[in-house]
Amino acid sequence: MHFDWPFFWRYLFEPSQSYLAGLGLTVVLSVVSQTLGTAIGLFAALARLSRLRPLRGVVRAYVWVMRGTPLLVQIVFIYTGLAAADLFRFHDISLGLLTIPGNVQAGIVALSLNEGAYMAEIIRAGIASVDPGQTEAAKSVGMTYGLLMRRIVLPQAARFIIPPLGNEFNAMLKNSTLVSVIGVQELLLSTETLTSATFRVFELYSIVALYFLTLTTGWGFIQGFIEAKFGEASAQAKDASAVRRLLGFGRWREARPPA
Amino acid sequence: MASNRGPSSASAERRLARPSLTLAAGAGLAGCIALAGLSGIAAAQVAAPPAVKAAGKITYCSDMTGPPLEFLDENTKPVGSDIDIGNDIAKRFGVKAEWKNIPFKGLVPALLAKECDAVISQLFDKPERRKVIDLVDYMNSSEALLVRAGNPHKIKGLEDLSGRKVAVENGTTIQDLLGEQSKKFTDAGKKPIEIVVFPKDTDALQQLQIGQADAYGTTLETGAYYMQKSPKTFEVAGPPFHQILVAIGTRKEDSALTAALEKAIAAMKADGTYLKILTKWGLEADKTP
Repeated sequence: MHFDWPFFWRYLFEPSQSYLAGLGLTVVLSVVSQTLGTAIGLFAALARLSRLRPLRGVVRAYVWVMRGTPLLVQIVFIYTGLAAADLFRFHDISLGLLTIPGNVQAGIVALSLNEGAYMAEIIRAGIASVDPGQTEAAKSVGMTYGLLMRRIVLPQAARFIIPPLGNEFNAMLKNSTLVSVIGVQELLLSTETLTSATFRVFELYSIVALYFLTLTTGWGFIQGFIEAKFGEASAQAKDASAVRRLLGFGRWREARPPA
Repeated sequence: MASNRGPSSASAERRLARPSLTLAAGAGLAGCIALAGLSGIAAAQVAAPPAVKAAGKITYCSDMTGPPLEFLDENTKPVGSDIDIGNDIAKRFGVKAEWKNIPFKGLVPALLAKECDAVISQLFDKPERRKVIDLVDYMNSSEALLVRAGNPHKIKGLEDLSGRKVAVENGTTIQDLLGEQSKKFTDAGKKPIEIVVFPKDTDALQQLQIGQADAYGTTLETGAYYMQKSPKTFEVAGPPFHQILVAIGTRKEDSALTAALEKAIAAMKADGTYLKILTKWGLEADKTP
């Protein structure tokens, strides 16, 4: 096996400026798209519960299309397809020192819209998991819809939304690599550019895999922290040993009540 | 004496006594001459390296997004001058040719991973490539910038690209040249070139077409091809630059194949097939002696 260890260590621990820029862009893309996607998903989920039939229909169509087509197709469609048909062109936006290229904007739009469809279903499930008695009780004390949603239902739904949300962000970190096909210089494209210059495919792809593993593991810790603070207590079995939980044998020992 | 004429008459008797043998010998000789005449093409046969001969085919890796050298027709069949050259070499070796379509940046890795025997894909002869693989030169090429018809940004060459967006295919020489030019700009305090990198050459062309790039960097041959196909949409901006040799790539340990390829190219040039192929695709200006 021809593994160039000196090359590997050098590029792993001394990444170039463009590589770090790609890493930064990947994180920014993921965070921004996930945030926008969650916001879109929230509005879509609430719209699904609306009395207005056309509104429910629009959301159902949106979720159907965005979940039913591949993300790669959506990215190319939004950036290149719309421009080729002269329907819409993404132009670079300059905000003082920072320029947001057109393809980065298109990438964020595509990722957010796609994520919004999945988040809509997750949030809808979270809201449905809240005891209907809560809504009835809130109405009976005279709360408005907005108040009951913000104070009663959504905080309780959040406990059931957080684990799938963590899952979605993990997927988002990796899906962000797909925007490389429209020329966004994120981490994967930076790796591919370097590979074409040095021909060291195995070493460089091992490095980018490790970088992504670090990102997703880091997110895993953050998710654990969020769950500990806001999550559903019974979802964290603390006393049953790993073997018992995995294999299902042995007696179930009661989890210690939260302090 | 009867014995004087012994051997000759005996052999004459033997000769005369077996007319069928004579006829057969005569027919065989005539047949050989006929075959040699028929295989005037095969007279230019080149001995295939043992590995290729044993497999009965030679596998080429090529990026089929570079017309007129290698591209796919409407039936997704590989066509182009490189395809014709590769197929002719296979014919001289007496084996079949198999073509694999691989993105440009993945060609050398695929060759090193033994996914193919040779790379024929307008691969430029560069020192960095020679460190990793062996190269057999077979024609010339140069770089060009393609812009929208009318040249709205008045681009005449690399020096005019400060602050402009240029689309290129990943792994190409023009990508390196643009990178160097961009560095010259930043060193001189001017705006760098915004180089947007795409996996396929056709993706990069599309960016120019839909107005998302100011220029598209590619080889002169490909640029001229598109300009000829849609003169109202594209034009080559300024003169071609960076003339360079184009080569077939082989693995360093595959010296038998490298030698056989060199012989095959020489044979192609000798019997006129080489010039015929280049002229068919309008590339006779790129011939090497």
